[in-house]
Amino acid sequence: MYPTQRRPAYSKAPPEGDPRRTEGWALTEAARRLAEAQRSPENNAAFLDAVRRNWRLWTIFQAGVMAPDSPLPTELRANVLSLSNFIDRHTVGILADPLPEKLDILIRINREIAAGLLTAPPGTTPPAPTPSQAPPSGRINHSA
Amino acid sequence: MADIKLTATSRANLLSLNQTTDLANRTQSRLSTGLKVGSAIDDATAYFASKSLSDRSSDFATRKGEIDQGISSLKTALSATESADKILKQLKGVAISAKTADTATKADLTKQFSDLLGQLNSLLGDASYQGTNLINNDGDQKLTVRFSEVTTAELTVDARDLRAGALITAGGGASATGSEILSALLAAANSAGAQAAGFSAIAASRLITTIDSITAAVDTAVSAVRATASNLGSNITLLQTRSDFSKNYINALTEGSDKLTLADLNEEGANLVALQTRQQLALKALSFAGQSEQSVLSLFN
Repeated sequence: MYPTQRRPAYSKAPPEGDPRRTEGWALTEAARRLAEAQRSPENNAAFLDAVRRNWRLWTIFQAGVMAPDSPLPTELRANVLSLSNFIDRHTVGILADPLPEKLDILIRINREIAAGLLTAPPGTTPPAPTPSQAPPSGRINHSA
Repeated sequence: MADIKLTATSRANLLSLNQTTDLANRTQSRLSTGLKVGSAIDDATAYFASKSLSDRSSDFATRKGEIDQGISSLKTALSATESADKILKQLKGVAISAKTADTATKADLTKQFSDLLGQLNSLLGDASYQGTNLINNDGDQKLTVRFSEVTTAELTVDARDLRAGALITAGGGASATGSEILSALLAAANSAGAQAAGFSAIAASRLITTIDSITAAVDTAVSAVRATASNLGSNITLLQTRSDFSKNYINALTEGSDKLTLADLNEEGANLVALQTRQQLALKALSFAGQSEQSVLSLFN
């Protein structure tokens, strides 16, 4: 579906098992690619690819927070849905008229949300500073 | 009020119901921490919760993909109409210069005129996006974009025919070649015949009126092209304004006890909500789509 791109070493995906960290990483990675696309808008294919991947990521979140049995507090779900709805409309606007400055808000949203996800909530093990090597945090149960 | 008396059976039922609730809760907390569930046999509740999430996610992705494709098709067609507009302007220029040209130049202009018509047709032929061409056929192709799985709302854009033969209706039919169209134009305006020889065959006495009628035909074509461009542009705008995917689902959810309101954000609002969401996330160990961790990871691999 997407052309394969070489992934630089510093964007190495975290190990599976900590969705919070995975989602935070994915948002950061999407923001990084958007910022890259913004710097070289003449590469139209890469530009649109970054925008579409970010859209797809938010679509997964959108579907997740819309589950009637979502464990997230209502207020948080409403916020994430409002954001994903904004991202839907904004992304379609970018596809129709791809201007580099339109990526600013997408990058900012991703970085804010990633910062929230990558913050250890009170009473949990904080994520290790080097995500690529760190073991999953203690509350994760790998066995069934 | 009298005490509610439970029979042994109903008490047992209630107990097992409570246990089921506990189990469901435990499943949920495992799901939110990203426990992988491979098949329905491992853990049915988790499996179907996870499956419904990925189904919903792919439903959305399909709808969004259609909008994405729709915009790309419309943009392809729109940019071709812009080029068509330029070619038609050149055509008019060529016809006008034939008014004052000598015989040799007229022969050259004749060739240019029919070449430009040919270019217009091949340009339109190239304006297809993923097999759909919205501007070179008479309506057997169309673009359909559905907005939602739950409602029947959709946008249909019928193809229009901007080929030279269809725009300049002097004769020869929609798929006529450049020289056929020029011949037909000359025949219509210049009864003297010998149309195949082009501009140089027009009798001097009829030269001005003939060329005026040709430029009038080109002007009509230009307005048809501009009308199409404006139609395509407004459909792109419509796709932009119709790109909210979750409202219908939210309405279904709010029918329950869960009161969710979906705000329409502008950029400033989005910034504020993002900030607020960041703070909320920093306080609770929750993730958005725990059971979809793999699909998140695979997006960037």
